[in-house]
Amino acid sequence: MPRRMNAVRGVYMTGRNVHPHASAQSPRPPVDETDRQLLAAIQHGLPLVPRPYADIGARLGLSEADVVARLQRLKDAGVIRRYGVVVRHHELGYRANAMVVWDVPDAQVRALGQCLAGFDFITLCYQRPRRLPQWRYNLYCMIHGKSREEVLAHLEWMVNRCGLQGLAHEALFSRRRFKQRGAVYFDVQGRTNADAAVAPDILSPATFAHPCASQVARLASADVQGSTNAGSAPDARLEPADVQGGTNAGAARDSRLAQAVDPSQPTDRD
Amino acid sequence: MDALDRAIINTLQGGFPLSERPYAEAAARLGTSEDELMRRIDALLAAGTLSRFGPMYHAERLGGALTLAAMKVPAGDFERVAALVNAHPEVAHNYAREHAYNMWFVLATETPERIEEVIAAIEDETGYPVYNMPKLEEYFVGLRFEA
Repeated sequence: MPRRMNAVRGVYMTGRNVHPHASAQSPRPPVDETDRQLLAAIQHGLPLVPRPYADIGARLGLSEADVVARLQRLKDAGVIRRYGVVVRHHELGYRANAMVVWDVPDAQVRALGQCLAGFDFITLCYQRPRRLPQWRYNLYCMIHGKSREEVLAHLEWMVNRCGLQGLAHEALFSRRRFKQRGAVYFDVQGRTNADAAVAPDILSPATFAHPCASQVARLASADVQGSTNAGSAPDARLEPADVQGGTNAGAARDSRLAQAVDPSQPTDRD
Repeated sequence: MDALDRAIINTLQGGFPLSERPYAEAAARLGTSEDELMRRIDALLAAGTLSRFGPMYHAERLGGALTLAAMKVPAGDFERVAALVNAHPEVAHNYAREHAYNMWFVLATETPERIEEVIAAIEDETGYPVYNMPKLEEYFVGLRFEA
């Protein structure tokens, strides 16, 4: 639906930079009205009583077994993506976070994304569209740590481990978080506070301790030339500032990390 | 926070039972009692260590939409723009980051179309372009933290 709608509405023509695939890739499982009532009833938390599902069921006129079965089905269908406790990571001492963005040849994004996701300090990893010429990065990963130094150490370790030195990337440290409530009727807070991107060039296969060593090896042998970003139409509204290459092959291999890690900057207050 | 609190956090980030007596079941695995587990979760919520206890939904699969958006805001104008952006209820998070693209926020809306509307409104209000960076592919959303 979104793909057709975007085309019909001429999103590209207006210059609004909405990618036509933005929400086209998650088929919607059937969620009936009772499911919605159930999801709404527990969106702020489960009751702290010995039989919480019976308690919820009593409120909605459902049996305990029906509540359990519905929740299980919604979980299996991915409508409920996580189920359990959600921590305030800042309270646990994770005070630094960097969104690391990488410029990866399109043909290798998936392999590298899956690879980065295998590191335990990576908390989120997404492919997102480039916005050329201003924004060249197409893979985003989030690194949380107890300090800026720890985050940088993680990043350096990952770069060395996977041979990513040749991939243009930047680490965008958080300086401040504005607390804000998601206002949609189903709270999605907590799964969205991180993102980053990657751009590899020569990927060393000598990283066999990593769970996806085989992917790294594949990346290393893959052609890294000439990957243009077929998916992201340049947005007419973007101002022509700070154009920085924009293609992967031969574009500046500068890791601009150094300028992003000025230790005099305040650390994230999250 | 003691060892049991840490164990609760580390274990229950990974899931919570769907059964008649889920607290009793989880407590058994943690080596504690049903009452104690409920009490601990309540205390961790009250202390703010946990932001929530329950489900996290997949917005797109419920017909909603999420996106990450970026802006490049001059330092002197940052507070004004932040106030305008944050005033939108669809803005779920907003982070100031160290980069020319210095404002990164997440939009969560009930419909995909609403994303465009909110972005257009923010552009009109602030006078700066908003770069929409929707996810194309998701490789990992673990977002777990060891206590």
